[in-house]
Amino acid sequence: MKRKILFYAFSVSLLFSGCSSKSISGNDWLLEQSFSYSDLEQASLSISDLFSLYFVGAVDKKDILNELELLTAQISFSQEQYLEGIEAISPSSHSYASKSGEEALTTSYEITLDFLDNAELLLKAGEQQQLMYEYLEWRELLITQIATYCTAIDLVSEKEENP
Amino acid sequence: MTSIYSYDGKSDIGYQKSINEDFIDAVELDERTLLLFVADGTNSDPDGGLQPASIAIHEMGTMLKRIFEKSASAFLMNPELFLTEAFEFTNRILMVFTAANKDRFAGFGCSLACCLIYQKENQTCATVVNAGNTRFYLIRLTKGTPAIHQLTTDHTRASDMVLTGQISEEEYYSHLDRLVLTSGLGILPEPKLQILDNLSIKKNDILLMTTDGIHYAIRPEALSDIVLQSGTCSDAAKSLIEAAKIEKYPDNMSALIAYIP
Repeated sequence: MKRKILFYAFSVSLLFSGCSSKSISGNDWLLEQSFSYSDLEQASLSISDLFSLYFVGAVDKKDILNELELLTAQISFSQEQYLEGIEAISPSSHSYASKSGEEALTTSYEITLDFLDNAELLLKAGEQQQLMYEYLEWRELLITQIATYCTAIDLVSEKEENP
Repeated sequence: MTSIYSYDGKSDIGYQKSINEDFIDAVELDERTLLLFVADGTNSDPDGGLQPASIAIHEMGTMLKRIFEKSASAFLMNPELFLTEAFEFTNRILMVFTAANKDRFAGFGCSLACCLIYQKENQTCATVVNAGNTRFYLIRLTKGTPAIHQLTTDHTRASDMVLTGQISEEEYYSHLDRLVLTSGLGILPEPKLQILDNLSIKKNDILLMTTDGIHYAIRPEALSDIVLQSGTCSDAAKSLIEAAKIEKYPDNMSALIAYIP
């Protein structure tokens, strides 16, 4: 039940964040992406917790597969809203920082969904070692993308404060 | 009706066997829903030509097709339930042969793998049920590199020994108990079934189903290479059989391949 409420709250937050139809500059768009960022942050924490519990044997295969299905649905929904939001950016209004921030967020969604897809397959195939490797690789890739996104936010914020 | 999936297979008598007890089949339930079967029979009736693999696939196919025609939506809402029911029903049929005539039909059974490919919310999915030592593999391109995943576990005594660490994966392929089945149809009143439910299938995935004449002769990575080097599903099946024959593996050989475009 608690999970369902969280999912609905998550969905409503996305509806508001993704509804803007007016055109927006790349920098302004990036500064409004805190919802997407927080969704990804939340999802990555859930994934990390889940895999840590699975690797120490506190969660069984059936349960982790169910949780992964739910997380995939949540992130896919968040990605859908995020991609709709990108369409509102005015053409040629991107700065170097806003473009790199956008690419980092887009890539973060893609690598997370790819990882979840592969994790399902590796869990079902019982390829534990490969799963562990893919998990570590996904974490490393995600950290790099998030660092790029945070740098972009800093650069854009600095520019907004000192135009 | 033409399926949106590409698929083909081949079954061969192989080396040293006087009859081919393997059987493969594909049933197109509609354009987007496909059933694939691979079975390896044991102790076929030498006089009457009754083959457990052929009977099992025929019964499974007929039953599942009938259910699908009655209500496709109910079938696709819970495919693992209907596939499991069909396995249990087919198991009872094969067991009746042995019960009716123990001398003539002793050990009349088969290993059977069944894969249903279907569309669910615009996503291609597969549900697989396996009993015995038939196998289901998935070949997927991950980060530009193809990788083969064996998604079924053999129901054999030697496989249990691998799980408990008594023998290694490599020793498995030469251990005699790899041929001693711990499940299958017609063998036990309640066979152990391995169910892979709702597997997400991606574009360009290749599904491979084999009998032991193929997968005990050729290791998974080599299976993947042979399939990927073939231009079509038909060529892949032929090449797998040719490769298994080169290894002179003394069993019937069957392979069924489906490609998701």
